[in-house]
Amino acid sequence: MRYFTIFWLELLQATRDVRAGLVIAVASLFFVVAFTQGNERVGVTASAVAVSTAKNRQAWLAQPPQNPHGAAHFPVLLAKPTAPLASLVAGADGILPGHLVTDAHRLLPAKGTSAADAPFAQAIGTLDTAFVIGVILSLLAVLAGSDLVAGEKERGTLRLTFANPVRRNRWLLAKIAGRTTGFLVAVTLAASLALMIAGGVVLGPSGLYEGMASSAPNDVMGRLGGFLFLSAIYLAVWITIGAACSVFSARVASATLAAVVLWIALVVIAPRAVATIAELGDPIPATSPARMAIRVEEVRLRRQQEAMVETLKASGGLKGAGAITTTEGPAAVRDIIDAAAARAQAKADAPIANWRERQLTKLDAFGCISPTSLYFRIAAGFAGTDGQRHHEFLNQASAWRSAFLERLNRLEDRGIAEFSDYPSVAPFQFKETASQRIWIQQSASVATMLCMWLIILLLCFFRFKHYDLR
Amino acid sequence: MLHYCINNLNAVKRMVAGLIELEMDTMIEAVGLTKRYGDHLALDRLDLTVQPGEVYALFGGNGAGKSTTINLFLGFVPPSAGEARVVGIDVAANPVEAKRHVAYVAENVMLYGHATARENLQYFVELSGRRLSKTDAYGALEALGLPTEAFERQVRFLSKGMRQKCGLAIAFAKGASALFLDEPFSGLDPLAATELQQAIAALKANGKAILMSTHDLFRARVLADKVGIMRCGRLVAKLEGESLRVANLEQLYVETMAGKSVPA
Amino acid sequence: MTDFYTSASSQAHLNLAITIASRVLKTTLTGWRGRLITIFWIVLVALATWSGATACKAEWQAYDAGEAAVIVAFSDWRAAYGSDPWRPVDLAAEHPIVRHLPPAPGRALAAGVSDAVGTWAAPANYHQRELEGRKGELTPLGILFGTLDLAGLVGVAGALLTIALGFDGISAEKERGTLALHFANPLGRGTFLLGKLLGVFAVVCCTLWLPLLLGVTVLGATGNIAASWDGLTRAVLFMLIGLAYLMFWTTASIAVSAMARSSAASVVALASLWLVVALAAPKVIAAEAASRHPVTASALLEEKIPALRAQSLVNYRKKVTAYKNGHHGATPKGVDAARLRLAYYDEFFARIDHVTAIDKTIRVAREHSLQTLAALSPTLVYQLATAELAGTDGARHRAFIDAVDAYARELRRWPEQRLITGIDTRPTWNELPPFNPGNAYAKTDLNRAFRHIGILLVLCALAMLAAWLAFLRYDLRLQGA
Repeated sequence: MRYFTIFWLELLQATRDVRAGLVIAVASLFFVVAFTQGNERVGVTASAVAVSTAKNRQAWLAQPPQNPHGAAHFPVLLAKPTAPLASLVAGADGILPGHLVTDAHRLLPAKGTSAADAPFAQAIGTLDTAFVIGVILSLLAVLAGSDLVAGEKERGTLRLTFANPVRRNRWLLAKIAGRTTGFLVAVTLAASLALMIAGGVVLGPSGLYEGMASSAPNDVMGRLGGFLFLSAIYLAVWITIGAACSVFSARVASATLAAVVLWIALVVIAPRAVATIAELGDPIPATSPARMAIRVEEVRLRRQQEAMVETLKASGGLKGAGAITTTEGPAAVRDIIDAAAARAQAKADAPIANWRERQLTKLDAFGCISPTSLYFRIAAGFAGTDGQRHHEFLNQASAWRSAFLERLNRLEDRGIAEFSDYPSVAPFQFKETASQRIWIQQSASVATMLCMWLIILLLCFFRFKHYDLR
Repeated sequence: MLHYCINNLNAVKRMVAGLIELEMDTMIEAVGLTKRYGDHLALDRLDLTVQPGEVYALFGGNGAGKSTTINLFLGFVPPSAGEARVVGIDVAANPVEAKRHVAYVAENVMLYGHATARENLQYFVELSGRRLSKTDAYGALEALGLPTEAFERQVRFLSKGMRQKCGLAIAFAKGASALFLDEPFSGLDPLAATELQQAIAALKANGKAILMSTHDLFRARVLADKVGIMRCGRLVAKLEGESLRVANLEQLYVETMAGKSVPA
Repeated sequence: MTDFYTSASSQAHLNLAITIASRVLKTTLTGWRGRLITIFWIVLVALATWSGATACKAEWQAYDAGEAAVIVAFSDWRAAYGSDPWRPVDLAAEHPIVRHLPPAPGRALAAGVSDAVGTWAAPANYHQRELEGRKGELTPLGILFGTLDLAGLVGVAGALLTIALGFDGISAEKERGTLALHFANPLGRGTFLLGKLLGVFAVVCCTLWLPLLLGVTVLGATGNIAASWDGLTRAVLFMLIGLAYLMFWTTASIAVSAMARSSAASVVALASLWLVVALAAPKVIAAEAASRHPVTASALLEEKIPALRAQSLVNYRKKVTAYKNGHHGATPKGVDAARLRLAYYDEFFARIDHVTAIDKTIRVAREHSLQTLAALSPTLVYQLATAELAGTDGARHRAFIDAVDAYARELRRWPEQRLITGIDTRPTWNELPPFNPGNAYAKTDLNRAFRHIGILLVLCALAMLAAWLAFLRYDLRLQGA
């Protein structure tokens, strides 16, 4: 029972300390900013999509004569539905576009980027809730934990404690548990305070929660719960790291400095270093040669098609008046061409896709060095803003585009000029990855974070066994 | 150590004379010195004088006003009324000028731990505007009784007594005429305390005016020319000369603290 | 105020300050704190230097490889076209020609926007502008944290380490008891403060700035910074702005140390300041600048262009029909066709001019907002300034995009003009019009860098004022009974 007393006293102390007040103040300020900005960020995409679709329809209707070939040159906006927790964790969505503008007729990859619009903003990154917890609160957490043992020693209470039948490891565990709980209580208070201040932003109509619920009605609570659980473990990891620094030194000042240095190394440096190392000896393959190869292939196929058309004309097997352009030839001919073009496209895309696979694998592997990069990866997974989802989106968008082009070609064959339902004929719908798979992946990653915590705890215990209690 | 000091006195005198002019009317003087913090009266019309070559021992419990007195003399706070004068200069009016002639030794002599005794000495003397050569530094440390092997040892490895001597050496080498010592004997073992007593006696013989706050009645009796007992910001008992010699200090102190009236 | 200055001459005043400063320098450099920070920082600088050099090399290799591949593809394309009689000169306009941004002179020093935006462009058909060499879309999580370059290191970690060196400049003296020892001397408060400031700044210079200098020298020596007077000037300015930035943090640390009751309080206050100024403020300011000028108005440029093209095509077809009517139903060929197409392009470009202008205005306005608001955060000022010095800032990229757009138009019109002047053969690579990315931004880079240094110095002065005011009222009293 006495260990519970130790835990309880530590909790009380942690919450009464003036530093708790500072944590609450700083955290709530940042939370308010993060919530507000998150809301803004998510809102923009939806309106842009609506505006664009309306304009496209107008443009189609305005073009005389209306013809499917022209439609194939019109840009079509395919929107990636907002990720469930995108307002909390910007993740890859902060960098990648939420929509693609694709030209059905072209074999070039879909484009659509916000990078060029505000390049420096891109380079600096977003202040989202994940950043507040992952970077800012982790610093406060490690500082909170850094005077756990050394502080007791300096004050002389360590001697007082161990002049009692108290076991070292259990005492340390109780202390760490108490301080962690105290810190989490402070953070929760801060989040509640932020919710009160930015209440309308979060809970009101068209607020954060609305957005979350509408984009993933089934599992939004699960995702949110997972994200919160992950954040709690992550902060516990940092407090334990601070405690570890404390156990390794006799003075608070040196423990604090060590904690700060570790934080810089793991939060500021390591993720960037990992990204740099992952590219070592394996730079991005240039895509332009591949794309040029596609174009060359296109020309060859076109000439092949023209030859076929000439032959058909000569043999009288071609009906239809007017000049025949390369895209308006007989269906059979075009099908062959299209298939060959698709093959060329796949061959061109392969190096980039492979490089991306390799990079992702390396990032996954090295990412475990730093709890912060691990945290961001898992958080993005819960939020639906990870790179995988975007990858899925690109694949599905390409498939949709091919189907659309095929349909247009068939309409041209039949000589149909009316296409009154453009482009809602085959509206694009993004099919999310099966949630089961996500949960399995995420659980494994969270387990990794828990293991990390356990390792650091064990390190603390091991070192504390030989700690000088005098 | 006393012999040592006396034997070296002439050498020391020459050194000191080379640094400053000995002014025979240097002194420490408080005239109606009062300090109020809001409603609280920390010091109530204090009057005292310390002539060159005199030691004034100031007694009193915690919160009696001893630290306030020293704060006022060092110019760390302005007085609410009255004047604190050093060498005739009003500290509040002309602090920088007044501080040319003061030196201060703290109760817990914390110097720069990673620097040696000699380095600390040279540094703090340089702040008073004088440059001290290595030989002179060694001379000052030696004069105060610091063992030779401690000269180049880092201060964090020195015992409290040795650090105290280092602090005194700084005060001494600055050539200041007015010395303020804050509880110099606290925490010293009897041998170190004796050595310190001898060092203070030597400084006194050198013509310094010394104001010393202390709890050590016995050492003070030996060293002090004047004794003052403070209580609640007022100087409630003053002894000097013959009355000091015959007084039962301990009894007097206890009675004063208990609130019984005493002859002023 | 009578004890603010040492009453002696200003020379003595300065001498005392220097004495205090050298004590601070010796104490910190021989202590474990100074040593740990120095070693840690040297490791970081080495890492960032290596990273910058690698990024540089990778970019140059990619440029060379990309261009080589393009030239090969061009000749393939030429061969593939065979003997097509009426579109030989379309060759150049149809084939995407890769043109790249010249290597930024200081890319190794500051990545700036390099990784977020493209460094090559392939203007091709219609108004398309493909940007390549952009890592963001390919490994989003990899780029999430930015690159490890010297500018980022100093801006974020350098500031924190400066705080670690200076947070207890004044409070430690009080806690140690040596503060009273100092002021039992004819020493003015101002002199003491100046001495402390100089001392901590000297420590920061030795511990943090010198290794940075070494890193920059290594980069220059290994050819990763442009080997010219321009490159040298930029490197020198980079060091100067680093100095101004670190000076700001030194002054801020001393100011907070003079205001705080204890070293512990001081470190917490400074850590919070750092979190706000160095980590949060740049992001908030960037988001604010972007949201002030939403792109929705000219949203999706590539979407508008084809619609405008369609309208131009309508007019073109009308003219073709008119020609046929005037030429007994014959389709326009050769020079006639070229003239008609040229007219079509001119009309098309005229239509899209105003759209591109809106787009450009918004981007310029965003940059401008960012620059203006940046004064709120010294770290953002530093980041912008270093990107400008390195040549990796948004303005330079924008100038490149403008040049690419102009080149695309030229490329589109060029084959027709060739036909009109009677050259009917397929062009070789060398005959293609050259791409001139222009150099107008170069001068303004350096001007703006000076302006940013000015802002940082003003912020330093403000911090010094705060320190001065705080220390004037600092409680020098002895601690204890």
